[in-house]
Amino acid sequence: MQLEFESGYIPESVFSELELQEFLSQFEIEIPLIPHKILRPLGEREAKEWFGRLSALETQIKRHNIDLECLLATSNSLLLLDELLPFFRDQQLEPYHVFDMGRFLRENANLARQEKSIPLSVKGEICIQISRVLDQNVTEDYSNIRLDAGELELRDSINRFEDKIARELELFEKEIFRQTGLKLIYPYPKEIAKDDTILDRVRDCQHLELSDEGDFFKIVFKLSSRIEKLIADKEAARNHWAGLMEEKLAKVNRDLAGYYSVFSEYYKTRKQRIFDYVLLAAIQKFQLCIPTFSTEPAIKLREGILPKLKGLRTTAYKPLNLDLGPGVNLLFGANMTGKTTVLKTLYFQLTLVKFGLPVPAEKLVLSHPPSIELQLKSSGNMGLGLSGFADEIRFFCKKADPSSVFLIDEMFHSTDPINGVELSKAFLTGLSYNCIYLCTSHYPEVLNIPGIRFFRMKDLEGEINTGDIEKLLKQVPYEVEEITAHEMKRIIRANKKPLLIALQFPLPEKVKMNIQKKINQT
Amino acid sequence: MKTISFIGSDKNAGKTTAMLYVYRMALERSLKNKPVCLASIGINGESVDAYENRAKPSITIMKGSLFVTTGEHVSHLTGQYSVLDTIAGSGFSKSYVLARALTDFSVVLEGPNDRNGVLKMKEAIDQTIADCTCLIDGSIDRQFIGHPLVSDSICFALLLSNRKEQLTKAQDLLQALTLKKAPEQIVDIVAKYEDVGDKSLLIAQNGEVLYQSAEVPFLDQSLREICLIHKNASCTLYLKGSMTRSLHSFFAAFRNLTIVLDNFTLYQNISTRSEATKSFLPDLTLYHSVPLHSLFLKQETLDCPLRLPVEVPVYNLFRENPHAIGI
Repeated sequence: MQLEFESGYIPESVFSELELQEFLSQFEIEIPLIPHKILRPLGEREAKEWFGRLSALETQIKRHNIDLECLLATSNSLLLLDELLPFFRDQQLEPYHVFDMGRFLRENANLARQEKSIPLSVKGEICIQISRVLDQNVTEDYSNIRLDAGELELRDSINRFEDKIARELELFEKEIFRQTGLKLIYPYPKEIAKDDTILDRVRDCQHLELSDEGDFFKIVFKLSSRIEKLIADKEAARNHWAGLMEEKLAKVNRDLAGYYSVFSEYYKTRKQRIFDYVLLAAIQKFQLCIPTFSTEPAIKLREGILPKLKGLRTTAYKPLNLDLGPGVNLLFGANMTGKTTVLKTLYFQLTLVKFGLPVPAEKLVLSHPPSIELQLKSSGNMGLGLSGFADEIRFFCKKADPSSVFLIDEMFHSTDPINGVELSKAFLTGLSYNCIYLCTSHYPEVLNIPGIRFFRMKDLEGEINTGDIEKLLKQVPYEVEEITAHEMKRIIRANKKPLLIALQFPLPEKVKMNIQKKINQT
Repeated sequence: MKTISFIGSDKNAGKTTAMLYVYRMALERSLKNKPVCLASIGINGESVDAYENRAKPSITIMKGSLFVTTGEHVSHLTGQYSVLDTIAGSGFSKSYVLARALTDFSVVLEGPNDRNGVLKMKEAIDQTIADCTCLIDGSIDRQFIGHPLVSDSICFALLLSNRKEQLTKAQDLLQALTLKKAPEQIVDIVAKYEDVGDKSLLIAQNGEVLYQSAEVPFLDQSLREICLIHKNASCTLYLKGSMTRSLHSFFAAFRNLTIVLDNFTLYQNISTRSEATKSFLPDLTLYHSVPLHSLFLKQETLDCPLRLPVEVPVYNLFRENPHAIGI
């Protein structure tokens, strides 16, 4: 099963950087019934139904101690009927379609027995009813149309004709060989040189004719009237047979016609159920969680993971814990403390929810986001002819339905600090309180805006003088904590960390001296 | 399961006629205890040649035989076949029906067109009837036909016209089909790289791999450069790409080089200039060598100017000649 996201929703650069396709590969197991699935963004009602169904199924499976691996193994035997359904609808099923349908119903019955305590929402009687029709019309192994004694006799008579014709042709070929010495096989003609010594014998043979092909003669067969009659009789019997079979197949189609709508609904539900099993198996295997929805705009994430980063940092990786409410949430933090990673982790988690997937977290409770927008530090958009600044302004022009989530990295860093502060203030006080904004900023001036929740990335503790950047990165806490505006102002005033961190890099000595001087002054 | 694939030197070289002949022979020998399955790579068996608008031999499946084709080709045959399996799934653009004929009838055969598809089809046949002879109407422009996983042996239908170029091409193909297998130690080295996707490997006499590349050999300039550096040393060059005219000409003077082609189909596009062939100094061998089952000649002229391999049965279904065997 190949999974992919519907294109156009997730920006390509983010899709690739966050390795969303790699995450999808966790769900890709061999399921013939779902060879390929495109995940589409879900609306609020749809998402609630989707995750509600998945959650209820997970509970039932746990309660009844059902082995998901067994369910998936049986599901693996179900044939894909997508190609067959239009023929079913149009009453144009052929015997090989009936064969596939029969096998599907047989395997589906096995699966339904395993699902006794978790039956599908669409009733399975339709499968029993179709099976009855098939039992009446086709052989037990579904390999052919069921024939009565007269029809079997007619087919046998065609075969007897064939055998008789074969025997007659064998005698015919032997007679040609006796008369000419040529071993010919009907119906293949043979070419012969115009001066061949056997030419006269061929001319004298009543079973052969010569056709002049320019440089050579072609020897063709002249069948006896007896063989010709046998062939004509066989053809007549075959035509009669073809008419009978056409009628028999039409009857199978007529008998099944009334079941199409319900069966196609059942088939759709069956596919959905098997996809649910795939998701639940991945939840078990990779410790994922099913998100739940709140009525008010909020995001509560516990131990949320960005798999790519976890893979890179292994032991040093810290999952994200975050509680966001409606309106503006402003995240401060020194450089290299993980502010952008917070935005990316949240975007990753919310995108999965949007597309109906479980998330790599311990718990996620959120209001369903109609849209999730991420604005990382931009150097502009050449394709649209926008500068970094214009690109950022354009981001804020996007439609903001209630509960939409906007994640913005370093607000208005793209202009001078004086105007950047003014623009930040203007936007932060004017943004909708129905949506959820998480912005990062370095401007202390915005701390005076009322009605904003402030967060900060926990800072490096103790002395920063390792001289080893890798070691330094391992000391970063990568944790978010809520903080008051007052406390944040104090921290910013006392903050010398960017200067101290800069000193850990192999800068020119003159630059280092300047930085050290500034540290000493403050 | 034993698989015999049929290829032709040219269009209308008599490939289908050859397959039907072998089919008939197989039926006479083993109808009762060893069923025959007819299959095709791509589509074969149409009654009329779409390009030349002339009749082609139809494929008659005999009662009891197995066949593989698409559903559309059996839609008029209800009740005359029983379905044994359907072959579909990811990687298939169409689904195929594996069936047993309950009467004799003519049918258009159509099968998968790529290696994985053909292998999947063979797997389905093998799982249904293990001990059968599978006859595949193939195509020389499918390189995988020369892989032992696909074919146990090859039947080659050879058109002999009075056109010099066509005859030279036919002789080249014959030469390619009868090339000897590469030495075991080279096969072992190449085998280690088989799944990597390399299209060329230059191997020194001591077994060291001097060069490996996934680039198409005839476009690979680095390959040529490294080969020139080692021109005077005894080396082996494995190629999994066509031995094109330019490559053939480039390597013609490499006296100490042994070229190992992945399979015989890669030799088809070389220059047909006889002088180029004569002055080609490297040894040519095959990595995947599939035995030549038999040759089927279709002669438009009375002469047979080709050097036919003596150890391979030669049939002429269209004309008696000194090479005709068993007709």
